[in-house]
Amino acid sequence: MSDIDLKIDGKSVKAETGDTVLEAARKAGIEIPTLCAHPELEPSGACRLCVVEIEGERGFPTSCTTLAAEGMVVKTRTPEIIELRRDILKLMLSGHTSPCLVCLHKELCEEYRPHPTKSGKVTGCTFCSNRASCEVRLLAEEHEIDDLGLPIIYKDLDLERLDPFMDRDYNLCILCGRCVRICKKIHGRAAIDFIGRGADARIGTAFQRHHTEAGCLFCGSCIDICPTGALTDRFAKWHGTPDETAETTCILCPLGCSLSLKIKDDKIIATGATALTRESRICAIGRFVLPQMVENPVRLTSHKIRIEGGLRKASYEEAVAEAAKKLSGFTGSEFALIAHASATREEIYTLGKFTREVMKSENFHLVDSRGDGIKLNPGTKAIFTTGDHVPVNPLGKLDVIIAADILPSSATESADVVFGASVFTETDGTFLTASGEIRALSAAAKPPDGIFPDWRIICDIAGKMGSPGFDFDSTAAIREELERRGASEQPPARPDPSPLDDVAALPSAYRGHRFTEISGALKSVLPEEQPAAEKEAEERGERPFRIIEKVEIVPNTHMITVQAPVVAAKCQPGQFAIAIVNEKSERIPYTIADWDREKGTVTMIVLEAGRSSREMALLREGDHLAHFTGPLGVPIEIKNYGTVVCGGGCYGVGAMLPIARALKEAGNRVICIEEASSGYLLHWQDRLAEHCDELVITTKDGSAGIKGGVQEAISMLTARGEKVDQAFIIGCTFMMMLVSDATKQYGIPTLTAMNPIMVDGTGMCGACRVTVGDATKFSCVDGPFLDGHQVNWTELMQRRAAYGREEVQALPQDHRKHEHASTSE
Amino acid sequence: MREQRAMEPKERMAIPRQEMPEQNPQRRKHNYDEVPYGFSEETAIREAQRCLACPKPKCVEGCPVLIDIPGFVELIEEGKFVEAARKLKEENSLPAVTGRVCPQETQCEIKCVVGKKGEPVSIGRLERFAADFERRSGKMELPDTAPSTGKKVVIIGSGPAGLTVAGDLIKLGHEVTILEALHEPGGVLMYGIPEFRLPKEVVLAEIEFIKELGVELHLDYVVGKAISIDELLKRYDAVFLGTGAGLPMFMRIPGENLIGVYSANEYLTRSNLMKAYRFPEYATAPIRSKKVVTIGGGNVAMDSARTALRLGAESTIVYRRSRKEMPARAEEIHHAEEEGVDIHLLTNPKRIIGNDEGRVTAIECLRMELGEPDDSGRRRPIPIEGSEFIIEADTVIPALGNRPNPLIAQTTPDLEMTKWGTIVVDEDTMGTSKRGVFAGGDIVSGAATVILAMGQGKIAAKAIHNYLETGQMKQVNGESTAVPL
Repeated sequence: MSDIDLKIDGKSVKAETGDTVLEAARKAGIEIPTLCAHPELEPSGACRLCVVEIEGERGFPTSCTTLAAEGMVVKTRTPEIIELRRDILKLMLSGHTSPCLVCLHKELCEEYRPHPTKSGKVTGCTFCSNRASCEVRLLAEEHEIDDLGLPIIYKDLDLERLDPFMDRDYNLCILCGRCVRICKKIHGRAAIDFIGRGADARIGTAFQRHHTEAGCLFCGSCIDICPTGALTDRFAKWHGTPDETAETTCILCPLGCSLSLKIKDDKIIATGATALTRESRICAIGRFVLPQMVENPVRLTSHKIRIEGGLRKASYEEAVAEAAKKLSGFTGSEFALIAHASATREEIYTLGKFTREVMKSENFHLVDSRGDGIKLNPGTKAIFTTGDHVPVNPLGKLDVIIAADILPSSATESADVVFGASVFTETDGTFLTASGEIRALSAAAKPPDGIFPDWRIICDIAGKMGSPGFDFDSTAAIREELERRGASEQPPARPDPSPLDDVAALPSAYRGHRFTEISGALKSVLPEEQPAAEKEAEERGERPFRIIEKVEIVPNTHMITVQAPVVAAKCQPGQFAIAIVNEKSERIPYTIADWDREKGTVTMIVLEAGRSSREMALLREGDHLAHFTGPLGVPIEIKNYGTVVCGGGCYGVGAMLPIARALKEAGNRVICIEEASSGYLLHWQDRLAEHCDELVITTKDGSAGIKGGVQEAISMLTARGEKVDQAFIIGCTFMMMLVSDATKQYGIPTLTAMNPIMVDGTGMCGACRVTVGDATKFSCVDGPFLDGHQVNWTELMQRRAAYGREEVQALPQDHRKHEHASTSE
Repeated sequence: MREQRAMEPKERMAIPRQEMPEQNPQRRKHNYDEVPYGFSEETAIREAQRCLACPKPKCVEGCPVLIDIPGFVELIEEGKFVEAARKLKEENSLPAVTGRVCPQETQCEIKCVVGKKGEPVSIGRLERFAADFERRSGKMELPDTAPSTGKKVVIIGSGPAGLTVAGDLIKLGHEVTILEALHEPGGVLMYGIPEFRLPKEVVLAEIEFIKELGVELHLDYVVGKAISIDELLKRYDAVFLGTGAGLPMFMRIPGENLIGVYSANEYLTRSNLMKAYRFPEYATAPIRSKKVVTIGGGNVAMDSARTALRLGAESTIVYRRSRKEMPARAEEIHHAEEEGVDIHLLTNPKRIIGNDEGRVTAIECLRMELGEPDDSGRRRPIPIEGSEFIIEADTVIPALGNRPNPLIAQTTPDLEMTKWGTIVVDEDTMGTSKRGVFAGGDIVSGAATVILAMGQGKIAAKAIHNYLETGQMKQVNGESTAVPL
């Protein structure tokens, strides 16, 4: 390991033999931009961003693949190199979905839309869950790229989300190959690889097999290492960026792997391996299921006592006192304690000690993570259970049930006292692994207020029952006693095969709660019975609201035509309809984009942006909506205004069509402005052109038409002397706000299509109220078109964001099941 | 059974009013199960024995739908429970509903002769008992219907008024179609009144019964938008409008559009109709709050405040007058207080306060005192100057009543309306200013009760029948302004 001396950017630098120029530079604190390089990976030289100049060498070698050599003189940031990097980045961005990076309204948009839209396919940073940590975006900003000057290439690949836990949108992929290399490194052979050549090159499985069949173990390393939003964790992706990480030990199976917790606002939003190495790899449960358990919407976050037959909320102290009172009438074999083996040594010790010393019972059962519940001894009258371990039948025969658990079960439903309890990520202590190693837990995550670990609950009950020897104030104190007493501890059996090597061997439950119940997505990894009833329901008779046509016209934007003669017979420009996809769906308003009165069909443009629109987007031709109601809302007034501008973006492009058509027929001079992020997102230009005098195209990245949005187009029209008498604007809230600001300046009366949250859509609930000037309007019966100059846009945006957290929680995790949702009802 | 009938009035008077067991308030405030359990067979018979079977029963006069009360009570006394239910259904299509939600204490029971000296016969509880017995027995026999008249009637809205009209007219041999705008039938019975007061299973069973009688029901059909009244009149011989008062009122105080301010309709609809309490299985988001303040003193305010408790929140009601003026049923106020709803009387909201994110954090109120009686005969509340105080809240629910839904009015210009947006009708027939069109329920009376809507439905059904037979909007023998065909 002899030292090498070289010069980088005029600075004398020491390196070791075998160091690359990149490594040498980084050691000296000189930053060279990279994408394909990663400290955990062998260099590959794929992205070419790390090019440098080396005296005496021709061209621009990549520093990640060039070994440092004695006396080398390296330059990393000459104007020429920087320009070259900018060109490389631009080329990369032209094949990445990057319109937002070069958009004129980037800053304002991010201010008003701090959270990306929960879309399907990603068509720009505004729709990307990885926006905050995207390396491509970061480099583009560092290199001040605000214009590409290159044709935009959208690969138009399918969004892959029928796998259990991951969404893959390879349209974002920059082919850095990090995922392939990390998969090879961790698992020896990669489940994924480069497939295709040249322009068709992409990442995928051999023969396009399902990932479960291609041998993917769902360790999640590829997600962790991907620099873009191409690979994402379906559950975690919309929860935002973690504000801290912490390490603990996973105790869901006897292996006791190290686990990194990603925490935001004291909540675990994701988990991962502590390092991207073979030794640190974790299983699919540890990587993907744990947060869904900890942050489950039905998690028990309070304590309850049964009073007069019903369970009522109680303080922790009340619950402890009640449990102590209830248990004090039992002793010996009348009592049994059933605990889960996925517990710390300290928990197992105190629970066992309680059983033997306080209750004088030998009935202490430890249920392992695959256990299906236990058989109680005859004569058992009272139990303490830490989970869903006891079948319903014996539960009914017991006199007293005390349950400490994290999720509801038949035990908590029938218990006399229920304690909400901590998950292992919220407790400290130690765990005895299958290899006999003792590993520490760190209480890295914060439990819900007033919720404690099992050891504290059992010790407090013992104390209340007057038993000495349970006044531990920490797990350290328990550990000290258990080690001093030399309590007998058996390492749990090693799972064979290991869950790290075989998805069929994954742990199946925690505290008796099956992971398949906690994460719908898991059902697609583990074998399950295919519901025959779903198929039958599909066959059954003629149902209304059949989907006649369903096309993804541009990425993430779907044209859906539904058989709905009642709506088709009467709908007018500017009206909307309410769709309910299946019996569990919301009532969601969609603007009507077209209709055929003769055929009795109605067409809508649906942008996938959350659960309900995803349910729509997943429908197939021949499926049926559960309900479809309309037409609703007040149609726009069709008369001769003079010159009219119709401006539309996103789903609003389609909605603009019937308005333009009717206004043109009424003798107006109609100018349509279509706005899209990028050229490949433009749609219906031909149909619009047919019904207007002029069609102006605008794109945010300038790849087609005017660079900018509808407001830039209106400025252009005004500048050339066009006198506009009325504007109708339909698109996202942000866009309508910007356009209204512009038309206000030009004095153009502007009607904008309100898009607030609605429930019934018929005036009954008032959820959709919008402040317009001094008045409150109901968008459903007074709108949807209201005066854009008077709408309180800030309030509208705030009200639209009112259910941000619930919207993420409601997102389906299992899309295979969801695919059939519409026909299974 | 003869000996029972032979009971002396004195013996009957000596029987105390029977208690109906209820879920304990501490338990029920955490669940959605119905509060009262209902009479057992023995208790029902015992209660029925208290009825004196007056020859000129006063109770019937108090009933908006004129049920033969002594008749059905006597059948219960004889143990003929199914027959009692059928007797009820002669006049009332929804006895299991009205047995639960009618304000009997101000209608039939207040007139009960037994009540003059002691407590009245529990007519409502007996009605509920008979209807529940029949439903659970599975012996929902269909009554005889008249031979087909070939006349077609369309009913707009499947709430209590519409269902009553439908039930009455189908029995008279007319062809009846109901058009409902929402995706579930039942109107306010489904979206408004919570499960713990009126189990949805009860409502659906009553609707199923009406469908079995032959009534055709179409959901997702927005009359006024999808089809006009004039178009309906071309296809049907008569139209009944029972669209309800579905447009919630707000107070026009500052802060009313903050996040966390919900109309009672929205609050209850999310929970009842959209099943948000089963989120995320059901997609509609629930309203998770810590401190809920409901504004108003009616039944809907009680329903909202009690739903808030069940969703795990602290629940407060503010009402600007005193307890005496509260329009809610005494039993509902009692139930709410028993469950732990905190009621602030003589208190009126002044403004709702929010934070930077536009979310409610508190509500500022004023103390009130009562002055002279106003138009409604109730003493007018007057604010006490300088009495402002703050109640912390993350959710505020104005439960101030509803205005009539404008969807039909918007598209039917020749229908005469009041300045409040309700439809003008002839109270004897519930006929509107438009020939062949009748109306009833909250679209006529503003926001009232289920039974009033049903009472108007009964009147309308009779008048529609007469209209279909004679072509007269008024009864021929009425001192009428009848227009001949």
